[in-house]
Amino acid sequence: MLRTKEVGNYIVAYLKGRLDVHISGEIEKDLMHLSETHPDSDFVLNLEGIEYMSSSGLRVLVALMRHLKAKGRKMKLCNMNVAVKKIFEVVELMDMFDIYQSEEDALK
Amino acid sequence: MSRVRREFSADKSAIPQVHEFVRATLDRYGVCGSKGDDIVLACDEAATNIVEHAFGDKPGLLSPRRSFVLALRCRKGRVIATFFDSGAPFDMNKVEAPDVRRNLAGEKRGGYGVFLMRRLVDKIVYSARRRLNVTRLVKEVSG
Repeated sequence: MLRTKEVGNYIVAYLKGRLDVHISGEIEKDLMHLSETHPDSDFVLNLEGIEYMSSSGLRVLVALMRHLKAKGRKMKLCNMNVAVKKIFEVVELMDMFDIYQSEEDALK
Repeated sequence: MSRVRREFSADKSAIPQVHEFVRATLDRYGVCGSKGDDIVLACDEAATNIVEHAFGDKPGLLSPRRSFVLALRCRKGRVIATFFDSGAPFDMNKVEAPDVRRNLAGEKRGGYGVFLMRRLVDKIVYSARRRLNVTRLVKEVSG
């Protein structure tokens, strides 16, 4: 179950644990459900609690961004730890996402 | 240290076990830091490929049992992770690099796992013989 909060027009979702193939399907389903229940909101995904991410996690983020962009909505990422940031860098995805140091910066 | 090996169910729920097995073995070999992290993630991706692509919903070609074996060895500053499975052949050397723009346009999904593996280890060798797929990941860890 995702922990979330609403700040203005944003939904902030706090992802945590290991985002690997074992749970990525469930997380994707939760995020898509959140999008459907808040059809006008933009998203901030706070990744502070993610201790590990594989390509399955990346696929979830790309799928959500595709879904939101198609509806003209925004998706921002924040609080990436070093290990998660490294994966984005290795796969050369840093430029494709709106990435912020902190949740406060993402919500500005 | 001699080679260690373990059999895993070819199921998504086994991926965290693969992760733990690789991490614990590398700790015993004294391989830590970013090189250890790279091997753990590369093994996760290789195991995920076996679960999702070699087996999918299919039984094994050698037997209906859906499982794979991972053998780890550290020798002369090099870690070698070898996966054995009897699922459908899946040669990751033939997988195209991901194209995030096409992913975002909805034309294509994924491709990141194999790309990550190629970047994280020094060599990937794949062979399919007698209905047994062997995928070997090699990472230099000395220096």
